[in-house]
Amino acid sequence: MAGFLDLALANLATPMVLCFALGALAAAIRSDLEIPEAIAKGLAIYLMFAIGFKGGVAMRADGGAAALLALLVAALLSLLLPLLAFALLRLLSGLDRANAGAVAAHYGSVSVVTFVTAAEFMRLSDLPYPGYLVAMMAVMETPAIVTGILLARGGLGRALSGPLLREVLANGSVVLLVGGFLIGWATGDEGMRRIGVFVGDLFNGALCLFLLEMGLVATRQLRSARLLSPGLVVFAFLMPLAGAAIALALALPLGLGPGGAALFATLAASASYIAVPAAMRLAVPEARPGLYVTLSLGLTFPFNVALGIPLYAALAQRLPF
Amino acid sequence: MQTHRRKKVEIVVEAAFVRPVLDWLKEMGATGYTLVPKVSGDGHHGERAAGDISRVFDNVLIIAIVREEVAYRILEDSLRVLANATGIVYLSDVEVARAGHF
Repeated sequence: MAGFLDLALANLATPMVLCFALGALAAAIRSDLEIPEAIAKGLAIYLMFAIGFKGGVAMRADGGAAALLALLVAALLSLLLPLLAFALLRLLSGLDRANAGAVAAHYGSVSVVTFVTAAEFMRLSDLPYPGYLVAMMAVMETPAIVTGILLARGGLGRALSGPLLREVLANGSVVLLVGGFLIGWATGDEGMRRIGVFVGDLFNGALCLFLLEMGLVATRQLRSARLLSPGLVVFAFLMPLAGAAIALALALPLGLGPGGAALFATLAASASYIAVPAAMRLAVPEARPGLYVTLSLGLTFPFNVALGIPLYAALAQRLPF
Repeated sequence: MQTHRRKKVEIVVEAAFVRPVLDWLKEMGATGYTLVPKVSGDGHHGERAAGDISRVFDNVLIIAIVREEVAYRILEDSLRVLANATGIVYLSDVEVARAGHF
């Protein structure tokens, strides 16, 4: 496990993770530090566009049948992971259907910020990954929501309403991500030459500020963690590990390479806290947002950023590609 | 000057439900509304902090000026519509100058 320790320490020493820690510290000491909402949103827009664009450019070089298969597998994983999450939740905490289904949807979906942080980590650790990982992230956002609703309500019924569909398919992050990806794919290296400084050199700095905000937000959210049973807290750390293990196993036949495998594992381990909560409010209003947001944002997200990413990278490097 | 009595309906509701609630208000007979975004507070369901990243802890304030019968219809139906949402509804008396407008 020496590999993991080295990677873990290297991860913790990056400005990004340290900024996250700074945000967490600031919230813990009840500082009034606030990143203005518009700036946080602006940073999110920038990060999503940049990662989408860079993925599209890389896809132009890498795409093909392997990419399509990987996308299919990723979408299926997103669809099926909530089943595992649901079972674990019922086992560990005896949570009711509606809440268990809603939480499960979060863990089948992905956290774009976790992915972005992991992608930077791969770049800094010299672990290249196929460009279509970004496309895999995009397709993993939504299927879990459908499964979550099915589990929570025992059927889709009128849950797939207009507002919900609009929320899920047309929400800002999806449009930016997919749009950026398509633009990157279409313009390729020439496009990269034109905006390379913006999406490349400035990226890490923006990520630092955004993670500072995330540290603040996640720690403040953690104050609601007192309401969580021990079983739920265990779930918040166990489920990412389970998801990552499954993804690592799938990465081998898909030929993703160590960097790609680590990122796929990160995707499976991450839990949404932006897109899915809003969808769940509409689809499963009986479920309590204090539960699912605290679990995914307050516990799983920091776990993945601080420990998960280097762990998945260490394990991925041990896979016999 | 001649004024006309109307009811002001105020609904503080979580941001996730804004679209469905506005559509419902229109169906119930409101001719318009005013929306105050990013409202925070505290209540039975715990603290509501505006500007939250997941947007599920944001509240909005919807104001509509309607006729008395419409107001009572809205209040009654709100028990059904807002059953699972975090929020409150209340009425108050107001006077307006343009009878045809509300």
